[in-house]
Amino acid sequence: MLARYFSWFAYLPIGIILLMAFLGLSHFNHDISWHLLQDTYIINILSFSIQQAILSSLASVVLGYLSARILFYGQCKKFRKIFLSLCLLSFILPSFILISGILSLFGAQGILQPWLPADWQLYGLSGILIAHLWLNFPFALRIFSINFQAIDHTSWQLARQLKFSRWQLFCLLEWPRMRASFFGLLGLIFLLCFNSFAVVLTLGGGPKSSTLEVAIFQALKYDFNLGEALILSWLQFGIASLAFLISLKLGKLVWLSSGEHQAPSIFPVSRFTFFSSHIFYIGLCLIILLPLIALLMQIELSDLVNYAWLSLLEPLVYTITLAGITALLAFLMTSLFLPTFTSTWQNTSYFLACIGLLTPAMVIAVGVYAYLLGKQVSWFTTPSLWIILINTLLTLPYLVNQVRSPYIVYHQHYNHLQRQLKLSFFKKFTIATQWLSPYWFIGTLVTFLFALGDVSVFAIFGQSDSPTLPWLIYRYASTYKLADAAITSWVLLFICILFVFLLEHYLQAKYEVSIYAKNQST
Amino acid sequence: MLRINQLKFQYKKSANLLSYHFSINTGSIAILQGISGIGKTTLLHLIAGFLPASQGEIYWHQQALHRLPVEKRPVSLLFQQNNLFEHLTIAENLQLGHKLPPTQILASLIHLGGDARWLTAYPRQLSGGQQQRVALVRTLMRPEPLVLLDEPFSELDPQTRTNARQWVATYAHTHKKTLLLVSHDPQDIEQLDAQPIYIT
Repeated sequence: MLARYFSWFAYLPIGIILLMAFLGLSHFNHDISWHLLQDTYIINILSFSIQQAILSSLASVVLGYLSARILFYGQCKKFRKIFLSLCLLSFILPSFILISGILSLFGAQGILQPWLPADWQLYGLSGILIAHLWLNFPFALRIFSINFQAIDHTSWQLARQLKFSRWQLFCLLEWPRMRASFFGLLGLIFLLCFNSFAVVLTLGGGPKSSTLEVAIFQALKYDFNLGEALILSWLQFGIASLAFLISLKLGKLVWLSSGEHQAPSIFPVSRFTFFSSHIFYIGLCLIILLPLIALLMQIELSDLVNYAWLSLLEPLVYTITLAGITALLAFLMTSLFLPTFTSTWQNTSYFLACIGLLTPAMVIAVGVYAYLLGKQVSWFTTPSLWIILINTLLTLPYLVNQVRSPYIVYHQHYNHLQRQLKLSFFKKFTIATQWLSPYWFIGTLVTFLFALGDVSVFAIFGQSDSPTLPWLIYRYASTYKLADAAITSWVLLFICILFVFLLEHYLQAKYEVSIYAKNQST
Repeated sequence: MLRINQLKFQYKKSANLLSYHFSINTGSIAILQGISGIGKTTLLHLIAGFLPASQGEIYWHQQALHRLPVEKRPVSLLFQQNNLFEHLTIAENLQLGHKLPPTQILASLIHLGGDARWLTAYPRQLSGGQQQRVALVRTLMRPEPLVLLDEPFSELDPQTRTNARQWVATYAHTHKKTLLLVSHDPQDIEQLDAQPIYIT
């Protein structure tokens, strides 16, 4: 009981940062002219932000669903685990890596340039959509694939027994299992694309196709127009909150689970379907890998020799340190939150813990920045501290979502039992930790990977003389040092691959403990 | 003596008001009977302290149980499900809630047709009946004098069921336990020499 009250104090740092951000945002009230909302420039930015987010999320989710369907019914099982890891990798991948890859593919000197139409323009809506699709479509595909596999074997058998048509199969078996994920994914990807910063900053190509997030950054860093930045931040916050609440209402997303589980083949597959789906499968793998391959092709031996390897060391250590501390902090905070997830205020606690998903990175960063500026606090002496704190708040939802459900399940299953057995606090803690440890590990790893790719917060607080790896990539790419950008991207990519495989290893271990043993008998 | 005195409980306002009134002598065995959904499990949860009674009293000797939290009641309860932590081995599960040496617990388990090889397994690696025997052994061997068993033999085959009944009756008798069971099987009353309590 005491622990539960104590847990609420853990929300204090979140509250303080949010308060700072909102005070910061309202601090410069006298500068704010709400007439800006009638400004055609702002209206254009707003409608473009929403338009690109809707298009990106719809395309990613629908394509992901259709592809997962083809792979499932075509029984594409070979290398499935590696394929699903690849899908996860492209989601967790710092977006600058992918952007460098897309530039190497579709850019002015891109590999695909000769085959593109003469009036082809990468910069603008097309570029943004391509990047968002590449980032999110594989992830949607992964979720749907896992959902397909998770449908009970006996349900398929029953469906065959009852001689369901394809349409009945879809309506009665498939869609009810996919619906929650479909809307959950739609909401999540909409939010991610709506808040997308790196992609639009690099591929937007001017005010015509700029989003709120980038406009905030530009208003703040280049035009020094704090009033405009604040209005845009409020606007961004309002719309993102609305989208978050709608997606919370409509969908449910268990977004990280093992891809290991394989349902046995239920339907006979014709030779034609089998081959065509396998060709589609190979095509998908190539498409997902293409930007990364293009990055490799960008690099020549001379580039590797001429690359300033030593100068990479400092950003590398700095990036890993920032991400590591962020993940550790998020871990500590989530462990303190846990008891509140089963309290009577569990919805409030979940909402508070997820506020990082609700408030876009740029809004919090700008708010805190404005607050510190207003208080004349010399934040620039401790930029890393603010980067870590804000990133902790922003990555917290990923960790919380990973640990919350298992904790609630644990509580539902075993709370009565452990009370009945009169276990001591220490014993209860040890048993619960044993249950939660794989989820902890996975969640912390994901938090680390997301923090690794941060650009938005660094864009506001970062110092140009000590960049992080993603920022270094941006700097190289924006000064057309594409080979250097490619090499740096591959270094960052290598770290991500390493961690994604570690992650998959643990997902599998978790899966084995919880499900594999089910049908085994001693 | 366990005394349930005009105990009343209602899940929500629109639901039926459940009402209980009976007593059981110390060291005896009683079996709760009645149709499904009548409130047998609810009664066990009321005695164990997981549900708050709206009226009435529960006395164990002179002690008013209804005023005590779960952890302070002299009760050991076998739930219908979720009796074992799935992420702990059977050996680890068996050692929770008491201070008896593992060998003594194992001896009882083997008596019920168990196997030492189960100890290193996880609950899901055992069948429902095997899990039920593990949970039954632990529940009964805990030091609490009042034992509540919610359908303890439901997953057992006839032969194992007979063995389990014998073991439960002997153990309860020698250790002076007071048992309250929920069961639908008339043979349980006969073989356990139990007092039937009908809930209507």
